[in-house]
Amino acid sequence: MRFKAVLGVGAAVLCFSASSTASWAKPANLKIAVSNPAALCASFRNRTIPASAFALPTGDAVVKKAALVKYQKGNGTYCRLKGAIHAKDAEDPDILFQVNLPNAWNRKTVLYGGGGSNGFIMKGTGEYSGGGGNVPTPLSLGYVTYGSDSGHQGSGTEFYANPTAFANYSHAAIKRTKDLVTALVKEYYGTPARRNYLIGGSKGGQEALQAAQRYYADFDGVVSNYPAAQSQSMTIAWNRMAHFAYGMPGGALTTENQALLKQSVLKSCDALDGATDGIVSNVKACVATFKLSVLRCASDNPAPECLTPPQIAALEVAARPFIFAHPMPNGVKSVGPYPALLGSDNSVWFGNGTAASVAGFFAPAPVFPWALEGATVDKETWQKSVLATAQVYDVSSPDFDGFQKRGGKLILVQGTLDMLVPYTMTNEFFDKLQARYGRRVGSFVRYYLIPGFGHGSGDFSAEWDSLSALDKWVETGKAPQNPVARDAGGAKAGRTRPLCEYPAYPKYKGTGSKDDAASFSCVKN
Amino acid sequence: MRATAPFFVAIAIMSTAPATSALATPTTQSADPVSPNIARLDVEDTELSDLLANSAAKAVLDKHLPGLTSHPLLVFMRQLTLREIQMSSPGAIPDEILVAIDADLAKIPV
Repeated sequence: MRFKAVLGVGAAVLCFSASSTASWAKPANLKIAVSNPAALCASFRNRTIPASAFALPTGDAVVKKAALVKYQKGNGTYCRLKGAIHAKDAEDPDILFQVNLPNAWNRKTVLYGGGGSNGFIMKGTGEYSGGGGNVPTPLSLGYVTYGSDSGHQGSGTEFYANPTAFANYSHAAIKRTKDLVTALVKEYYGTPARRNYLIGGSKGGQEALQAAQRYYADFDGVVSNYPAAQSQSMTIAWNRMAHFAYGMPGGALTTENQALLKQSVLKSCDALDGATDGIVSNVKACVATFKLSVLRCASDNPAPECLTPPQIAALEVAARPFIFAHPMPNGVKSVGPYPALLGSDNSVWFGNGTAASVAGFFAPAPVFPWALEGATVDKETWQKSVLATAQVYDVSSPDFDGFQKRGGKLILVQGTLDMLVPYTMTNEFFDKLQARYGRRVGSFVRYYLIPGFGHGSGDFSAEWDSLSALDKWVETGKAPQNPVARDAGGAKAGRTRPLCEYPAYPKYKGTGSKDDAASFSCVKN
Repeated sequence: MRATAPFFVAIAIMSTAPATSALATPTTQSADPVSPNIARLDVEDTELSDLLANSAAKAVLDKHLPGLTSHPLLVFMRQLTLREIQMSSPGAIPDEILVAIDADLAKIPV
């Protein structure tokens, strides 16, 4: 007999066999414990999961490594499986995975979404996106956790040329990895999972949306943090911004210029939410209030205390929508504005004012004038060069009917200062959800727009226990009630703010500590 | 005209998204695990966060890779294995260093 249902880790109260199905009706707080994890885990080495276990065309999967691992923080062990899901065509790249099986399982799973261009295995053993170090790891709570490299190896983008690899990266690896874990969990614990979740940020946030939209039958709930949901839209905008920073003489702001801009924005906007706390919370008022022209230099000579016309032109480009030459999928016609004039960390874009200091998205790159309004690019070229990628990768359709009807729950989180995934893009996505579902959107979506939060950090580096909120919502039907986020970074680490549902923002009540969420209320303009 | 290939590499770092290349060819197979039932600490599969949480393992890192445990980008490497960190920084960590680290990690009881 391998399994025991337990009340909490270690307190065995009931035993049943691996083949038992009677355990299925047990209360949700019972865990399933493995009685001899070392032997059981070792038995999974070289185990094959047949291609028939996968809904999508796939080869066999093989567990190449199986080892019991001791928690370095805390007591106990878990079983770590590593291996590969082979493609149907042997010439296509594998999906490499890691699955972590706790000895006391809560009968739930969490898929860790990826990041960037993926290409590296998400381990699933540490913090989840947006959770932070003060929240217990899902594995320590008894979740089976897992992740993959999404079907290509390494950080390059050459895999875009391989349709199987690109489909895996865009969405298909989610389904294939989920099917793998469904099979492994059933073999390991003798019973399927009761609940399945996915949490991710950025690219992982896009994967959360893909999971809810395409593979809704597989997931009871997802958390999508600052989803990089529209690949081509963002890339075109980044290239355009990089061009105005370094493709035009004198466009980039030096470190001193960036600090000047930040202080000027704060001077105009910080108090508009009632609290001078270094966080611009009333974004709408700030957009209407802050005037970039006040920083214009008297001459065209660069200086630390003012901005030149090329610098102002670069900022103005970012601060207005990028309108495309032809629509993206689902009628998306533009992206942006970016929050360059709202106190964002513009070093992401400008570096320290030298081209050599900028890497990644905003590295100086060829501009794509053909992609923007006024270009003469024909639709056929647009289809081949832009739409072919966006149609596979993007999540811009508001059709989540399958997810909504099966009772799935989506928690969507976005920061106002994100210079990679602009809050305006996520706002527009949620606006479309509202237009489609009306009041019903509240039955399955919560969208929190966090002032001062950037791409995982910022003036307010938000952390909160979104997994517990999601799990409670799924299990009890009770949506998150007045959730609170904690600032994890900077001199004000530990202060809290209410998470406000878009379009509300946290406004200071006028009394009480400005470090305490209780001193703020969510209001709309 | 060229396709707009996204440059997501930076996000991989900024989102603390871990990285690895896969079940890389092991060049550091050495001593048997101290415990026959529990995986020992190693350079192939043990995440940096777990090595940092073990004082003996942290000492091994300080011995062979001085500066790593106080590196300003450490937060972005926590979910990586040492093999992955090596792969993410070509030429920065010679293979023989990993072999030496792995041999020392193999001596740590688990």
